[in-house]
Amino acid sequence: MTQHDHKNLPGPETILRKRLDNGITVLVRENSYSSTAVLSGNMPCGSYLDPMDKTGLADFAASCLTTGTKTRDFLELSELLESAGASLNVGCGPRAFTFNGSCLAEDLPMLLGLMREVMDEPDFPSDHLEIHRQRMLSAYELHLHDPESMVNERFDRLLFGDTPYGRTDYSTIPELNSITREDLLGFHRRYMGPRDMIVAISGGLPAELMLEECEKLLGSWEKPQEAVDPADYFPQIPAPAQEISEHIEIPEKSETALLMGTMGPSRKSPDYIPAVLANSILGEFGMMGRIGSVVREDNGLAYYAGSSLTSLTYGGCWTIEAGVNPANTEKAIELIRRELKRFTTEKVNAKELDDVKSFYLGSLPLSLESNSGIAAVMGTMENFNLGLDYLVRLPDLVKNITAEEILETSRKWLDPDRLIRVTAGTTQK
Amino acid sequence: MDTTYSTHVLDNGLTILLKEIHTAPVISHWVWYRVGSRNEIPGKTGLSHWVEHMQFKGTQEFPSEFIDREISRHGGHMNAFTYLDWTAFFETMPADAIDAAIDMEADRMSNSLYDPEEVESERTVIISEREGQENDPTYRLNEAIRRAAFPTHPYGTEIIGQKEDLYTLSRDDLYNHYRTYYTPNNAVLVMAGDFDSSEMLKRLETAYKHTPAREVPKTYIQPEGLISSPKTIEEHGPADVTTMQMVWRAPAGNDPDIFPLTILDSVLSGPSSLNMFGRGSVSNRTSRFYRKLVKSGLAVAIGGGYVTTIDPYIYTLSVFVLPGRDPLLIKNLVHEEIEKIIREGITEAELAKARKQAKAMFAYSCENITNQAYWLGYTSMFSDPTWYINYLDNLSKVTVDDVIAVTSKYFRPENCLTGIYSSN
Repeated sequence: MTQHDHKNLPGPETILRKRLDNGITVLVRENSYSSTAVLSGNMPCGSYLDPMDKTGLADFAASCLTTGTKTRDFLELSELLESAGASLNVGCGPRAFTFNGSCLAEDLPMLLGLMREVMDEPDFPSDHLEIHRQRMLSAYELHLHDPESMVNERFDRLLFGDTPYGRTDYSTIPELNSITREDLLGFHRRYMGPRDMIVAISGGLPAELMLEECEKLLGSWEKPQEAVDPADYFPQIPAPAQEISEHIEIPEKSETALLMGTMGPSRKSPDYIPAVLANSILGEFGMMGRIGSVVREDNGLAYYAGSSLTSLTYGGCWTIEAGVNPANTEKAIELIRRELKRFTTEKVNAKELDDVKSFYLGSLPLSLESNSGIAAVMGTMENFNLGLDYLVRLPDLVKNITAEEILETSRKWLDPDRLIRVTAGTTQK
Repeated sequence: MDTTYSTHVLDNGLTILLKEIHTAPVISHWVWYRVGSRNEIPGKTGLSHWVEHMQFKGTQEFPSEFIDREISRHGGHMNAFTYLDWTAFFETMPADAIDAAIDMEADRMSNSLYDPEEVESERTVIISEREGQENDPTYRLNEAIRRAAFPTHPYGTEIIGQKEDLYTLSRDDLYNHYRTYYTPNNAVLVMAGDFDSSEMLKRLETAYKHTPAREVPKTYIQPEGLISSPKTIEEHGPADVTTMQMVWRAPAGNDPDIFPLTILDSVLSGPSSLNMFGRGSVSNRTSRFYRKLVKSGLAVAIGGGYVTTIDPYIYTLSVFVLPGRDPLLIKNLVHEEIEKIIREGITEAELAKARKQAKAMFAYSCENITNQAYWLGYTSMFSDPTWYINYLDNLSKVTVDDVIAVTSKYFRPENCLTGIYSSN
């Protein structure tokens, strides 16, 4: 296996971490080669907090945070950001709001202050709520005609049911019209605040200075929040007991989107690293792994055909996806099924395993060249309580995985006879 | 930003650009060929893109499995792009493993196999790629607009090629295209990262010493002038949305007008990134078109932009229309706003903001070693690297009068094509 130099990766010597009195955990790292800064993080108030009759409320709130605050209207907020060439985006996931922003390093205090302002004092101006509602409806209409987007939505629903992981942005449209400004202000009042928030910054400023700015701008943020335990909202869901197959007919599509999959390990599961390596062999390494090799390279059936592992806090999914001509869909499914059977009955060979270990470890420095990559990995380490020395320990965690563990993990999670399969496209001319 | 780089031309005509960056043990290695859809003729469209695909099918010495796996196993990443004017291949790798990329790229410049079976297998892959693009409800509108904007110039054809051509192109068509354009004297090799330039140059001289120059046919392509037929094209499809595009001719990448256009773009639609890997983005909520169309309740979203090309290309404004609103009203308001700039200019505050936005966007787009190599190669395709080295300086020299002059020259209503997509 190729040896890689990991001594410059973010670790305990270069990351400054501090938990502020109000419950915000701050992680900062200097990137002296950069003239910019990236700020990212999360606040644990995701769509799991949606009331049953107002699904989409959290997402709506996150999307409208930057449309106005108690002290600045939409134009003033936008002017402040755009005249600095900076950006700030807030989104909503099942478990948390996520935010990220970028700016020239000199403008970091402005960006930090603005991030706090929109999260702490949003005003949700009515005219912008209407613009956002229209935008969501238009996006929904496009989604209905996008085979890839449709199979993803349906797959999540079939796999995770009516739990937060099963609800997508688009399943909320029927309730969209019932959400009011008072609902959004109520959501903010009850759930949004600094407790257990994570803020990660990488940029071209001394780490001590960035930490100081965080303490100055975020330390005085006090706000009562309702105590909720997200774990209560994410029940354990069993893997599908039988094969489930659905087709969504969408007119005038040249290509059919295919998605097959099942449950996958959570990010903190001991199966996570073996599953990452297994997935790489199955549908990622080189030209989309074994799936890409059999579907695209050997049979020319698809432009894309590969697999993905999505490991979340309270579960995950393991999927195979491809885009194929409608006439070739059944053939592609059969080839994928055959490859999965082989993958879950035969050990991978030593060269394959060695290659993906090398790929996984070797690609780390490349993914951590940018401020956004560094900020993201610091957030992951904190979110999943992996420790600041995670990247230092990672090579040993990866090197010790055996072909037996890959087979065992694949068998445990991937049952080729009990997959959910969704296709979307045009079969009726 | 350190702008130092060195230029070398080998005896076989290969141009080599080297930029040392010692921030991380990483090297990004690119080979750019001066061939893209611009070099194609009717009936043979899609050749450049298909050739790019075939370059991953291997040589005698480096079979396809090697190309797929050898770069990945070192933790590197690789990809290739075919564009209007160029085709580029890159590998970004740990510095101590870069030899694999150098030898493989040198070999596939002239020794790719083009096995007939592989050609047939790739035909269906490329048709599948095109079918994936066709799934976008607005694909047909984009295609129609492009055709109308370039009545004779090859920029009017989709880079992936016409579907009927993808069914009929032969192995010989592909191989001839490859042999015609993949020569050292038609290529620029770029490396940025953790190496010593004099040692690296020797390494590259050895890798390419057996690759002879070949004559590349000169292309005589008449650039298109201003759009002279200000028509409105309508397309319909099943999606119940209304979108529109307004298109004007834009200056070539090497035309000094491109800098006032950059300022104008920022003022009208928000700043665009010119780097394919550009990180960071700036919203366009304070731009004139956002305020005129979105804030006023006529559109859901707007976006504008241009690309830098050898011949004049187009500036495109895309508008996602709010249900029930009249696209023709939007069209008139857009022309009104442009007329206002021709009449009154832009404010000094708008000019200062556009410059600051460009500075930030440029800083984001220089963030990593891959991006640094990208800029050197990309600008060499339509100009030379001084283009991006002097980019911010050139923007700082743009005056309000320059912006008025460029607006007046390119953005008249009689030089605008409009396309509208709506449901069946």
